[in-house]
Amino acid sequence: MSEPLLDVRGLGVDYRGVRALGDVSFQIRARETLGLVGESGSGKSTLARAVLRLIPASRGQVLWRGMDLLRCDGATLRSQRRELQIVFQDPVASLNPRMTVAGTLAEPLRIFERELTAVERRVRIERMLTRVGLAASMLSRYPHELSGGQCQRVAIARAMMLHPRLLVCDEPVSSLDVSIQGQIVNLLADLQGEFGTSMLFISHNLAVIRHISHRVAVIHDGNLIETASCDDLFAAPVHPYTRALLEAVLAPIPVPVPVPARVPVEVRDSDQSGREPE
Amino acid sequence: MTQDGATLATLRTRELRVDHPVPGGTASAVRGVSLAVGAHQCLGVVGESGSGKTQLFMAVMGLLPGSARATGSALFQGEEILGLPPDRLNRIRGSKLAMVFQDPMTSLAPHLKIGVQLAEVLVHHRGLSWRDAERAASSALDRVRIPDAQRRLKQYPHELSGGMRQRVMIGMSLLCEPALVIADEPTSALDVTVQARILELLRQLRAEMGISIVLISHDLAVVASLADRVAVMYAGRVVESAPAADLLRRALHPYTALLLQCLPDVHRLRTDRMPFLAGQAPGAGDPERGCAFAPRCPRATDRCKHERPALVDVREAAEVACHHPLA
Amino acid sequence: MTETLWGTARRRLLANRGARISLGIIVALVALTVMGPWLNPNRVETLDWSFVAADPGFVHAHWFGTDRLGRDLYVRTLAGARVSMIVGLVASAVSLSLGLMYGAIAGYVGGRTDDVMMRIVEILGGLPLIFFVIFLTVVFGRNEYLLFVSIGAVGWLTLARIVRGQALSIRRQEYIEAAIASGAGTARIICTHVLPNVIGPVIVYATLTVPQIILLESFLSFLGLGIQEPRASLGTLIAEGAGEMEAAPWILLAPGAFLTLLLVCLNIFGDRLRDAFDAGTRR
Repeated sequence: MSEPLLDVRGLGVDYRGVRALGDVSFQIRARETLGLVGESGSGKSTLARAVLRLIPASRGQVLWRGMDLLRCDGATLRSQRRELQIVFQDPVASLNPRMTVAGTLAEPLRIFERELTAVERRVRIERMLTRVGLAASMLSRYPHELSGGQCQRVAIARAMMLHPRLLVCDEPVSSLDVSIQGQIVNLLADLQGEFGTSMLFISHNLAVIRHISHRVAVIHDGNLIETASCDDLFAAPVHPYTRALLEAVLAPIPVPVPVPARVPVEVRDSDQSGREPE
Repeated sequence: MTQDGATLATLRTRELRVDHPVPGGTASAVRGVSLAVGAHQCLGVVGESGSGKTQLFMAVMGLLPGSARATGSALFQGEEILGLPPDRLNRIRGSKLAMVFQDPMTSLAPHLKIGVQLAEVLVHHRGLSWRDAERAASSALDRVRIPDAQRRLKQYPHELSGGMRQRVMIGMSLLCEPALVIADEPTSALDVTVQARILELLRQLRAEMGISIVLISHDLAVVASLADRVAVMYAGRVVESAPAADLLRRALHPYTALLLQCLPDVHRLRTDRMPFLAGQAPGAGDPERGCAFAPRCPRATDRCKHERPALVDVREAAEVACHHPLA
Repeated sequence: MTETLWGTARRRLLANRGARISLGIIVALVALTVMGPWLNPNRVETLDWSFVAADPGFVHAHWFGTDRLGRDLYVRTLAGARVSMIVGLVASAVSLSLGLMYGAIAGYVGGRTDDVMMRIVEILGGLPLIFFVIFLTVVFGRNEYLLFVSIGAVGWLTLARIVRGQALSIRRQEYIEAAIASGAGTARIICTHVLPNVIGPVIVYATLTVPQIILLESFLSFLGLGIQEPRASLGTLIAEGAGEMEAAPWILLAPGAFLTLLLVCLNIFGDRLRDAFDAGTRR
């Protein structure tokens, strides 16, 4: 097996005397999605932010391409940020309300590819916008004019702008309607296929985790209690907490639902990530 | 209305509309909804964000902002409550007719202890003394299965977990033994395991106290586990309404069928695409032309684009608004 | 809905009658100070010995009358108004820029930097202004530049506090986290993310600062600590006029009325602007 892309060892975060995150260790390989499942308060968001050093960690190492992200200096860290991106849970809050979509998407380019002309930037922005299924007319809009799903697409476009090697997704679909969640999950899966991005996908929703992860880690009370391949974990969970979690998933329908005749699962879309109509 | 014509429905709306003035005209969040909740019944109301499901019940509770206009009729236990003067409304609201909101953190006052907030309801509505009210508050916490009630009463909202705060909200709504509790997305802010427990709690409370419940959610799974009857809303109207078991087994409206497809399924294989509904629902400000769902509907024909389907009775106790319903 | 925050605020503002009227008057007053003198043949320093302390009239185009030295009040009032307005605007612009940047940096960077910066604000804020100005005058003599120094020392303080408060709450917003995760440095974050999001209250505060600073300048000049002869500001004119109040009241009335009208309209407009912004942010 090749070198892991991300090697987290003994990562821990103490906050005001409370152990928000115990000693957590895991690895992520190239083109792989590690799903992180846990309830709220389990420490999963803390983990996401600690790995990217958005909050200070109390102990441990985050080895990325041979360097420890937690110990390198500010400039090195910033230079690596183009490879490590994050998508947040609340899509509207993660966008600057006073910046148009164009401005938001241009920022990564302005930071890391300053030599681009305005025209070149525009081309890149439009291409990524189309790639996430939004119309070019969205460029001049502000976040408050977009729906939650659209905002999340913008956030994903921003994160993918520089083709990062690792994308951390912190509950990216939890605040969206159930009917829209699939659009975003499919989009992320497609982007992984196209750009080879690894993902750390965090969610409390087991069905979504099951769908997108290659391997799954379960977090409880700040500790990783079980890590396994996706199929293994769902077929034969080992830890009692994992088992309880799987059992608690709402059995949605008391009666089996046959697929209604002639209603396709995806509504008239040749582009499978659910392109938004203009 | 097809169901429950004989006995008095706890809540019955007739052609309820909610309009908001916006620059350039009006936006209709609710475009004429008629539904009913019977005694001891649970009605589930399902729809995406923007379908008008919350606005509908905010109108019933009289909680719309001043600029909004609600027209039509809403009969609560036979009495018209739409447009009721505030003093009359306040006697009903919070006691006989209660609402539980989505985010308990913003519904509970952060600076008051739990016990005080609970007791206040009783002192205000039932005229109890503070001593009696506090005792009643303690039993309210017991009723919603919060252990160690005495200690909890002295705590502040931020000291409780999300699930526990929601239980407190539910407990608060039950203090005056309401006839109807409207729960608006009561579990959306909570985890899966906590969600299951809250819904179980609601089920038990219904059995114990005989209250009627309106359960509003964008998640059909949440509604399916508790409701006797389900009404599906889209773009401010009811597009399908049927007994829960029937709706889940055999949906009539294409939108409902697609929502069922989108239900999370832990057993779905990884190689499948995750199902979803493409595009998005029209907003309140968009004008209506034909069936609102037509742009996203796989069965849409020309007729659908020009003629809006009316809500018609189809089966026993079921109605649907579609030119080409399934089955 | 393609309305931006500014669009909504502007629409609401222009729809309000009070805002339109006060804005109209302000514009008229400004136009008057700029173009008014051309309408009148008298010059600021011209001494008309035949009409000393004269009542307002049309002879020799002394529309507002003349002062003790025979100088035409119309032209002098407008000249004084011009000085007051320019000082007010320039001093406001400087104060506001300083307060904005200072507050944004203190609020966003936080920690020890914030502590130190705010201590400075508190110390300067505790200074009794008049004593400070008098002290400077004693040390450096009467000098117009002292006016700028003293206004500069205090004009930015309140805004710095306001902006710092805003910046503190913005700092926790998720889009700031997103910007950090995107690799943005502190300078970029402050300029492109913090400042645009604190502008709202700043604009409102700015419109209320301008009249305050004009009034401050007038007051200092009235005390003789600001603008010096032969230049005039509304403050010095009012001081002159106060001395002649009984014998020739219009020497006080002309600049006094102008100043009052200007300040009232600026304050009304500022209030309406705040209302428009508040309503604009409430969606």
